[in-house]
Amino acid sequence: MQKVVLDGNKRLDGRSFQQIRHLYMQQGVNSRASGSAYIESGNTKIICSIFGPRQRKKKSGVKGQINVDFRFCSFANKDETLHKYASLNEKNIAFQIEQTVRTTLKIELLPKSEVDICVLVLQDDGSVLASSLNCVVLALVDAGFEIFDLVSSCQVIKIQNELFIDSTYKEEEESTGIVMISLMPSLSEIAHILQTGEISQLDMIEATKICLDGCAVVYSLIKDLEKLQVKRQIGCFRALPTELF
Amino acid sequence: MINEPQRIVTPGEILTQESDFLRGHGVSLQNNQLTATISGVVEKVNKLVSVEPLKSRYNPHVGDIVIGRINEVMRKKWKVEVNSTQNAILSLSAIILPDGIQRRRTSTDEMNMRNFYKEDDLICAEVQKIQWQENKIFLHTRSLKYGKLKIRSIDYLLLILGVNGYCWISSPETVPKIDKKNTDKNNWWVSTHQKTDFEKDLSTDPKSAKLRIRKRFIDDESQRYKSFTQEMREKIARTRNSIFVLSTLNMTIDPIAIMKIYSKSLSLQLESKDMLEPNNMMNLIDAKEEEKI
Repeated sequence: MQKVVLDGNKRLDGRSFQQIRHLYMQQGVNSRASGSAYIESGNTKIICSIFGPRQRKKKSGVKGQINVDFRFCSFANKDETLHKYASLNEKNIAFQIEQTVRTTLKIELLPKSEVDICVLVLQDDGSVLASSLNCVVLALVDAGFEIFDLVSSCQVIKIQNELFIDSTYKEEEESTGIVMISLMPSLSEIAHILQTGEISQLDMIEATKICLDGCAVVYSLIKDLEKLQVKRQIGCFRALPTELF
Repeated sequence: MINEPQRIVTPGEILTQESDFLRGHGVSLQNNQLTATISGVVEKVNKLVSVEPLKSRYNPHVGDIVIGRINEVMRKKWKVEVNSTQNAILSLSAIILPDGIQRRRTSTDEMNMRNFYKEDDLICAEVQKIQWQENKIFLHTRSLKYGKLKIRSIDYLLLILGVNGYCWISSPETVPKIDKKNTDKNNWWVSTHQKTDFEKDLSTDPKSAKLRIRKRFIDDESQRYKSFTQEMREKIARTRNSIFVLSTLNMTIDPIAIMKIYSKSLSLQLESKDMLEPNNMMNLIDAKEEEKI
């Protein structure tokens, strides 16, 4: 506990226990992709590119398909030993992302098509899954996919008897239990919930509350960004000059 | 043109509490409320609510003219990539044969499919039929207007604006250039010509937007590059940049707008490459506004 807490109420980076990290988000970073987004949550930096919808490579099946490719860059983590198990971890995280995307994407509008989601972690400083999901959602909107709601995600960890929101890598190393929740506020639905490690029932209830608060904050940020993006793009929007014909 | 107050929505926003509205594109019914599923501008027409997206794949409609690239040659049909969620299908029976005769396709025709179109060819076609269940698009090229995009014009610039977001700009005896852009609904064939001594019988009447194409097949590949002038290249580049300016600023791409920007860029004496700088882009667009008023 001493490693991650200073002065009893502050964490190493100066945040309080229930404060999320500073977020930087940008859409349209990859000009070749249908949609893309970049997110910086503290020192965690993730870029997501989405290609599609396009013709399925496999001929069979009628439903739309979502392919998620999640990767850590080889330089993403200072800890070299982590990289040994990275491929296993990557597949697991990719699966989580696919599950969450499935809850929010209107896949029935894409029969026989596939969507390729490529997530690349440039720097891993904790809360990778939550930040990836935020990034993926922004990229989906950028690509023009129809989604039910903007999914915002947040992570809470437990160290000894304290709950910390939006953990850094060091904090995660010390943690005994992690809860990640993805929220769809407009529909009041939880898109995804993932719990690893050990957490008691009471702590789980408390952690859920804190997590949902964090998700609400992230949601308002994502929504503001989206509105700004739309305003900027329709700034020069003009109707068809039919009277000229 | 008065800009009515436009309502901007993001996915998940509630559009209206009433449930007796018809749902259009980009709207879904959740908990008895109409919510948006894409970010864009709300459009209400009588009882129909829809959200106009900023970016989307091509949504096919029967009768649209599209430009596509052949992806696969299959038995009795070609698969064409048209910037939609799926590849479109051009069947062997839906093309016009070179001899122009209406006849049944024989097995010889099947064997010679690659002589008509092969992989990576660019074609211009019209949407014949759509199967909504599976998003299947069927194309046809049953007219001289459509078919493989190769050298067709003589001394003027040929511009095809496909409804699916792809444009084709070409000129005689040069390697044609294809440009992918997001367009609004337009379906125009325009031949805008640059005045030379040779075209006396071509009219510049953009308002009528009539089809003017003269066919002239140049079979020998080497002849294609023979008289490849710098001038023609610049014209194509300028046209392409005009379209790009309209696209970047999310304005409707139609022939008149393109020509206005083109002529303005000439009068401002801008180089083609300088047209894409932000300051110059704004100058070009402002000019367009003045002319409208």
